[in-house]
Amino acid sequence: MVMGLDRVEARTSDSPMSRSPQPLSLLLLLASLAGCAREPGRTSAVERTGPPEVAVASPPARPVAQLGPLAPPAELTLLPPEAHLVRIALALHGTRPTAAALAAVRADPEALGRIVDGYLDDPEFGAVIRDMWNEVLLLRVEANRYKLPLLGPLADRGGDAAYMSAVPEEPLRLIEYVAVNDRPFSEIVTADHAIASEMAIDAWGATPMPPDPGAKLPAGWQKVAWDSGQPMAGILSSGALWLRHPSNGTNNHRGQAELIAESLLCSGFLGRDVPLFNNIDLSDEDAVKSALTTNESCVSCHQTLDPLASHLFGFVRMAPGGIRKSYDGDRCVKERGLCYPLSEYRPQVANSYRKKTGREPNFFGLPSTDLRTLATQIAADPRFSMCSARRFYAYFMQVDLDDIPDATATALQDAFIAGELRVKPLVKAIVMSDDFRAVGAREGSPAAALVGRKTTRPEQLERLIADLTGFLWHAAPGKAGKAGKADKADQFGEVPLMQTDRFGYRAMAGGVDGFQITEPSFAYSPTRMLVLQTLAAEAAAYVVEQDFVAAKPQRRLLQTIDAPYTAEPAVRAQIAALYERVLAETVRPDGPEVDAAHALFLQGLAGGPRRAWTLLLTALLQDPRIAFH
Amino acid sequence: MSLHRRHFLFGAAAGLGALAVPKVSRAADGPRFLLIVFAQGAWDVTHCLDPKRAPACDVPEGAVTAYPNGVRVLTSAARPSVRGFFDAHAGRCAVVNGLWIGSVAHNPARIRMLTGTRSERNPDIGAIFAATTAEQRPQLALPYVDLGGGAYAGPLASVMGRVGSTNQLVTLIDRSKAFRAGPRAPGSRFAPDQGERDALNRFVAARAEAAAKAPGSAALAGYRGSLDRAESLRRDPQLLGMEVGRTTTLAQQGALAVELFRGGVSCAAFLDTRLDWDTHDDIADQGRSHEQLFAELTQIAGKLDAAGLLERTTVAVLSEFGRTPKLNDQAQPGKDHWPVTSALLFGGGVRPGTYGATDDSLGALPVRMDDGTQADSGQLLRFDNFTAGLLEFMGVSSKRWISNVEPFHGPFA
Repeated sequence: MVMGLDRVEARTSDSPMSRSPQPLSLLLLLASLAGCAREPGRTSAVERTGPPEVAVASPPARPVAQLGPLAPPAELTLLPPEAHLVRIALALHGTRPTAAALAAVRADPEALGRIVDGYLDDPEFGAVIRDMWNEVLLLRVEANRYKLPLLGPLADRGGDAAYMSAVPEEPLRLIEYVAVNDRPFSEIVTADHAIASEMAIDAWGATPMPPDPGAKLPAGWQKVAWDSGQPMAGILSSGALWLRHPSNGTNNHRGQAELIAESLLCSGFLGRDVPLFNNIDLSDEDAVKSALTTNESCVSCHQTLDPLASHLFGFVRMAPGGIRKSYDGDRCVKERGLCYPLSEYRPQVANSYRKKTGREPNFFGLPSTDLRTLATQIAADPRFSMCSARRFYAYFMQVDLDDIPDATATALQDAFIAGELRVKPLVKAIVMSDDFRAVGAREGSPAAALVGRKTTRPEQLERLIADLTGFLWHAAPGKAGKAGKADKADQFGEVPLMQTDRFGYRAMAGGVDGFQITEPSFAYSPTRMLVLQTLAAEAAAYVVEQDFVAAKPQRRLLQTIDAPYTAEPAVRAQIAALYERVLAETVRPDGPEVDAAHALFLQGLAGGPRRAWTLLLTALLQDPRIAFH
Repeated sequence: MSLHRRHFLFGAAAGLGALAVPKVSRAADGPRFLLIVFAQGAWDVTHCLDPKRAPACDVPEGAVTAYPNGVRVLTSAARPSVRGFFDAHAGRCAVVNGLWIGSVAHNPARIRMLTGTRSERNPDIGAIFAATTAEQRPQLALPYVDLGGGAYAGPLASVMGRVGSTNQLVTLIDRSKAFRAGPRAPGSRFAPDQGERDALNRFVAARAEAAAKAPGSAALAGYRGSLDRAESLRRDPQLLGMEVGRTTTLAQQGALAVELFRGGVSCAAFLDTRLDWDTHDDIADQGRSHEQLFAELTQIAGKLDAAGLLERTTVAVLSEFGRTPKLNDQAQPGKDHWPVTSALLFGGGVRPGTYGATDDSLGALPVRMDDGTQADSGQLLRFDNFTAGLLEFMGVSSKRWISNVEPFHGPFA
């Protein structure tokens, strides 16, 4: 079967279609990203943003490339259009579709494209991009060795939680910015700026750059250039990235080069075996240098790894312990070396590779001189577009990179290039494809291992529950009585429990901790179930309490009934409405699903109507339709 | 403890009279257990398990203590717990040297050592053993418990649970121990009584079973199974008694693992030593970590023995790779990464002795896969040979997860 790619029509483009990335423009847009739970300074209540409504008079729909299916149509079982929309809504927006969106798709399945465009243009999509690339770059890690001490200008800014959302997040913010503003994705490395928070600026030192007219930035973040003198090359210039992936001692930045090769080109070195070192004295630097250039087994990796690493010698390790030693309370003793803002890049040592490895910078044999030329080479390398496209597909499909069939990968790359490396058309192609829409495949089909239910990730669960109920699962573990005596009351701040691991449940719920757990889990475990059940109970209690003190139009879920009323018809009608809203499942008030739910309601009624609704909502919020999509 | 570059005390097998009478280790009848102890960061095997001499290696002070069953380890007055451990347990210990990992990067090597493969998406030996055991013992609520953080369950996640780095699992099963709600999540908590919980679980189970009939619902099997296991976890006294909010030491993890084994909750556990092994500088930290490790292993062995589980529990003490034979040139010298390591096994019927081999410079030597003796006609003992052998020893076929690999039999009787 030929896996074809229909030609993508250019939406508004002055540049001809070609199979190579177009020269990059530096036109920037500012995008405001209204609050998600991680935003600094968010108001206390979850605003009912809701999913975007379908526009009445809307611009032309974003084009969508048709990916060739994984298997012949007869082998795939596809979701009906509304169920497809429900899956897309959770994947791109973390919410249920609105009733209007469902009605639109019910009336005309072709309406799905515009709805997807709306999700892609919504700020929540930016959060999805950050979540995705965190799984690649592993930045949201709480281990102390990868965190800057909260001293000096970083002190009293809201504790660890505030730090985590403001400093390590910075490279992800650039990636998000590029994606949501329809910039060519290669700008994640070629951009001459970063997107930094005030705390990141205080930590690393940066000079704000004027925003481009019309461009929007998330509140609290701005376009900057770093002050340490590093060539500006997108995330490659980020101190936060290299803090998380430091180079120690004799590593000579090879680990950092590996990160670049693996995350951006899918051409890492660590999957290969190192040879036996039996005859090499690794403590002899000259012997090592010689082996890396003469020993065939060593040369096979190091002839490309070391020149790649040579671009990074200007970055010096910012050891958190060293920073801590430099501070007396909040006062930094400059003679001790490491004061904020840090100088993570030292131009005077950028050429020290000459002494250490003797390898001039180059990019897989192609000439390169510094981070900027490296970035250009990366952007031009076909592996970049292929790798990025595969990563987006793997993320949304919840499959391993290596399991993506070659034909699919090629089609993805074609779509990505045809869309001028813009993320939104690629993601649209993925979520609109039969691959994503398939709920099952015939046994024995090559697609069987790739399609099916998607597991709701911890961050998706957090968003979905927050959208449905208004509940934010946060805790203050540093307060007296709950954590150990050694913990300072304000050290941790207010902790979002689905985004952290020290006190939270992220890894327990299948997420990555960025240190030892570097791949998400999509299988359910007993502890993951406990997390889901507890979140469901907390959120249920919250929304029942909140809804029954609010007027019906302002309520989130219990919109048709008042607390004292337990008459069966009204209860059944409300239950049916809850199925629609919470589970995106249409049921009859007199149907078997509501029969079972009503029986559960009655079980809780012994404790009063509020308890009954809480019990029922606890069940619905841990339903398979919440756990999976 | 100082490390002298060219100083090595090579003692004879001294003090045999001080040793306990060696016990033959054999697996007892009854359910078996697996305890994985992971020394994250990479230990220096010359500090204990694979003694070497200068000048080929830079080694700490100490003397080789040789036990009648062939176990040879470096001991020192500066690290009495090491000697204490082996004096008590050498008769049930197997040391495997010359384990070739083929990587000097922490995470990839860790994955190799634990899963026998190169992918984090594959289950580790604990998960595989637990999944197989759970088929025979379906009453296990949490067949594989991750107490140390970082176990890999892959598609077998339904048999594994993580307790969290500060035991926050307890906050889920006992809401009175939950962390204080943040100001943005006010409101009363809902704690269903047992009748309500039973009704809740029946309802959700029915929903899961109905959903499982639809195509593409293989994942729901794990969801459904986890529902029952989660309920069992809520009632487990060992878990309810965990202290929340503190990172647990190895000994504390071990004590809890033993209780979970004894209580019929788990059959496999993953523990982390919580020690600093990645000694690129200050090699003295290796000595301190070894001392602490063996002190805590002694405690764990004692707990297992007191529970009557020592002969049925295989304890595998592993690390992702080793450290270079020679010190580096750091201001406070340490050792860098080395793709060959050792493993320590005790209990559960392992055949005592030393297996595998390295040369004087810690290079891996070819060995026979059947008995682990050095032979030029043998082959390199790789991580996958070792993990396959351990799985086979635990009564689990390794072929499904570690394919095309000859299991190493050496210490596995």
